[in-house]
Amino acid sequence: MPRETNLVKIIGEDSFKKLRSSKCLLVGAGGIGSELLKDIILMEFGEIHIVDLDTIDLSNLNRQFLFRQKDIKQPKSTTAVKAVQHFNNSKLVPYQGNVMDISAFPLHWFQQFDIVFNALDNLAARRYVNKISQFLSLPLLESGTAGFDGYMQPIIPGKTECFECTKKETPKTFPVCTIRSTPSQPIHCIVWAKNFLFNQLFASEASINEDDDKDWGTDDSEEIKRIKQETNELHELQKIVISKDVSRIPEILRKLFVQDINKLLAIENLWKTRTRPVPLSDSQIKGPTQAIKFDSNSVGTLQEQISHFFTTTRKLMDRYAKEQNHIEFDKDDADTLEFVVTAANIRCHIFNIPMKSVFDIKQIAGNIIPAIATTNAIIAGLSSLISLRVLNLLEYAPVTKYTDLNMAFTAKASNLSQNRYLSNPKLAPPNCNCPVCSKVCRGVIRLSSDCLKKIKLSDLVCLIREKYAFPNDISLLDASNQRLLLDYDFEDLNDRTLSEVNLGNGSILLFSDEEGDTMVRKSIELYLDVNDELPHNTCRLPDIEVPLLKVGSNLSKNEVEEANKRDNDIATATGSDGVEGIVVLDEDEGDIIIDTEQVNESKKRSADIEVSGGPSIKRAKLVNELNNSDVVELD
Amino acid sequence: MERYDRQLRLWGPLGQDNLNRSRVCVIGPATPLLQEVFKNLVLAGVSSLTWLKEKCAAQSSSLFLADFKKDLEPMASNQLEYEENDLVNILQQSRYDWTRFSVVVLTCLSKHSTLLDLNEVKRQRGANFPPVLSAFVSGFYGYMNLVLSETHFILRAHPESKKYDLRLQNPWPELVNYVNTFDLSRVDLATFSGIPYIVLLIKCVTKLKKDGNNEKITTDLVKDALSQICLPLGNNVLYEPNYIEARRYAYLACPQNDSSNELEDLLRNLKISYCGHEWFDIYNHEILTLLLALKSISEESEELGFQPLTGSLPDMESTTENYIKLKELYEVKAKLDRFRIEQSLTRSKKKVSKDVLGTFCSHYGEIRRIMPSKSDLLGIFSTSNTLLNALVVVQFCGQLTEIIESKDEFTGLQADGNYSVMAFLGGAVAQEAIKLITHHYVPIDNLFLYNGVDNSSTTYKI
Repeated sequence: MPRETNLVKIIGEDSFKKLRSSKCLLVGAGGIGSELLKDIILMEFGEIHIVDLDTIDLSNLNRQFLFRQKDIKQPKSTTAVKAVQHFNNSKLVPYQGNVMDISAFPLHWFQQFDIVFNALDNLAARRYVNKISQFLSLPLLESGTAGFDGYMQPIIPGKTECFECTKKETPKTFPVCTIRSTPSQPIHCIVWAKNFLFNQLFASEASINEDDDKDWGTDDSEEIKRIKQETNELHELQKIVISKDVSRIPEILRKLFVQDINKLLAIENLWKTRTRPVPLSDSQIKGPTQAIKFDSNSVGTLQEQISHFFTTTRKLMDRYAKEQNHIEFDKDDADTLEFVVTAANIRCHIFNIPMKSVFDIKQIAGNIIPAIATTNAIIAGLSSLISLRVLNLLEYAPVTKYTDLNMAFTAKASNLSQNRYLSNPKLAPPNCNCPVCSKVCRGVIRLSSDCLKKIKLSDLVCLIREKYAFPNDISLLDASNQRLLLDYDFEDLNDRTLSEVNLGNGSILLFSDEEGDTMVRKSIELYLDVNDELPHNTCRLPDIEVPLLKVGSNLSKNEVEEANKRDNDIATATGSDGVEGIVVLDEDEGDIIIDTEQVNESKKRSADIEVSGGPSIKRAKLVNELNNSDVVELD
Repeated sequence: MERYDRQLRLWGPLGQDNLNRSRVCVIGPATPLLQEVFKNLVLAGVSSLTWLKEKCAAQSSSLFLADFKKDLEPMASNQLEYEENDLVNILQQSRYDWTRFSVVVLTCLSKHSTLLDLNEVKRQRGANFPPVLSAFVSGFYGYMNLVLSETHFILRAHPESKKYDLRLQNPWPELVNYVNTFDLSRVDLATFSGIPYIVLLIKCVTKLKKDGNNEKITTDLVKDALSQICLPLGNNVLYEPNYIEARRYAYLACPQNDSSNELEDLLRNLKISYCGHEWFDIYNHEILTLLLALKSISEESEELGFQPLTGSLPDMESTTENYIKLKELYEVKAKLDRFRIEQSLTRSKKKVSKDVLGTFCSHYGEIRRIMPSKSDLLGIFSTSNTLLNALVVVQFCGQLTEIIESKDEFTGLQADGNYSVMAFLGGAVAQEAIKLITHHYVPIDNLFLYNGVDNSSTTYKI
């Protein structure tokens, strides 16, 4: 029996035709992605586009059933498509790339799809796709798993809650001083070894500028001074790595575990209520007497840790030059993992903290979230099933209201016997306080690229003002990086073209009514979608209703910035390590960040905005500084 | 093991080892449900599969596995042992060895007579038959039923909140001695702030007992006692983190109604005679042997309800020195307890693998038990659940002699198998099989029903 007759029976002739002509986007071909791809192929979707950035890794093979040992290091998207050919009856289009890459995947590219399946492993991309889905009113099926836990949430823009309507957990952070001066738990030493030491020694450009406005977690100026000095000195250690002179490894050990500890001990204030660390003795610092195999499940002695530190450092020094003076920490790269393990354990020992096994440290340092095939199969099954409802293809179970649909959580599978295998709350309407989906109107400006060089900021403002009946007094903000572009006493940029003020494809503008005393227009967020296929001189504003609101219920600029700041913090976290933390996820998530990195990043961002003219510079700067403090008042 | 890194974190090397050595028998026609179960089990590491085929008129087309053996092999890390047989033939062999299977899974069985035959085979073997998971999907709906022939013990239930075994109510002598080295009437605030809350709470319990508090110790009583022993140090004590922790965890010093009681009951009702009969599953037998050892230790030493101390200590406010000392006390006691169990085993000439003993002792509070099912494979026909009744009527269409009332209130029930629902239930069935094989996590007891229209589900006992 051909597959389609089977399906026609389930959904009916008409719906089957619709299904065959529908296009879906699958973001992620990993754990949930492999399962979803199989399910939606067997459901006979007409066209499936698959985007994944990753390549295949050995530890994927316990659940990503489309991949084999021989596929390791191959791209997931194309490999998955090859693997399903023998049972495939849909048009499949794979892309190896980052879904957030705007040049590869501009907004209008997303527009071809009827529905999006998220099978992602990180918060930044989830937020990004959610935003796109909101701009395009594109139904999104969001999902994630961690061990036995999983969730599936349909998001129908404007009708149901979006991904941002509920608060997501943000990565755990530690104050600098805990990591650098006064660790008290194994995790502190692991973060020190991985996020600080490893990068200082083996990253290409170890950053040595540490800003004064970071969260030190202490006011002790002596301690802050010491931390800064230590960073500079570690930069010197990198020279040993560059020299490839392995006979100098004891110098590294002495610096890290004797001299630096002694300097810490000299700051009396730190040890009033804490147990003093004990530096290594000279006799302990010696290379391996014989080659020992590191057992990943046991902790071993301090001496084993030290001699292993020698071995792995030697290997990494050797690799450093070969790998263009840059090695990145990767939990699956045994050398980098063992370096972090031994360095963290030696530090643990010094600070009287219990040491940990390779297995345990790998979980913490690699942000490893348990993952199994069964939960992924369960969640993918739920996600593909609900797609038929979202697309309203089931005649006998028609959807009249999207809030009648259910999301699903597998609530701790161990509680199955307590009747909680699945909880299935009904979808909630959008949260009226959600900065992403509810606080502003949203639309897309479609324009040809020549317009960027022709249209002046003032032209654009006129167009928007007229189209949506805004009053004279407005403000315009570049919401992608919190730049004030224009308001009642800042008009310096008026005569600049869009490209001159760095607006381009993917820029998001926030346009607000600053005049109304009692009633104001709701603010609008406008996405600039630059499309070369459009005829010259095209600049099309979206047809949207922008309602009048009572003053006070509108979204203030500060709130937008608050939300964006949150966004950027997370994005930064991603940038630094490629992994991030949140809720329930499929893969490498839950990163730990030391507070400082976010600040550095936002400094960089403010640097590339140049505006001419005296007071206005100050003004633009002020807006940018919102990155660093939440208390600046704009008007 | 690298391949299984991500799941080892759920059930550990021992659980993975069980999976790698397990043999699973799957019975049914070639359906999407069957292939999903196969795929999920092979990915998890099950290395031996037997398919007892039920011939079916309509061959499903929604199969991604073209040739089960050939397509499953590359998903396994080691050599996959794979065997196919005709179910009818096997059912005729009275000496067929069912005991080699860790679990038997029935997927979308379509012949009522086969189910009857299978049930008879199972009945003849008594307790000596593997756990059976039977599942069926139609349209948006599905069920899964677990039938256990013998008591199933769970080595680690992995409860959501970890409970530390601190023995605050009944500290052992060495711990009492250590607690007594702190004299709260002679310490200053700085020293006080380094005393772990465990010490403070044990002091409270001792004081309450000394004051003749024979009635049940309550959280309020403990908090009162805490103020009494700490306040002489001055009001600032209220802001010390260790004092705050002691207040927060005061309930740990009171008798609790939870799994530890459940375990005490379990021990009390455990009969030595259990060990007499042959046990089907070696882990069930080993866990039972260990529980019986606890019982005999209690009886011999007249120490009421001996239970091994797990030996792990949560993080707490304390000086490093105090914490390390305390940790050592707990670890030493845990080692001694384990040693007592080992000795008891030796005396009674019983053997238990080191790994099981280790997990048993270090996670003692996580032992759970599921009693053998009262109903057999035919239990699905004798319930009043309307969805289950509707499902079995579809499953054994026209073959049931007894008339089961089936109301047509389930939209799309007849609409054939929906692939997504098969994928969902295939995941759930494999997950329950994994729980049974690893003896980690609590499996369903014993019927699970799924309604895909609104993703609702129910679990109840037949």
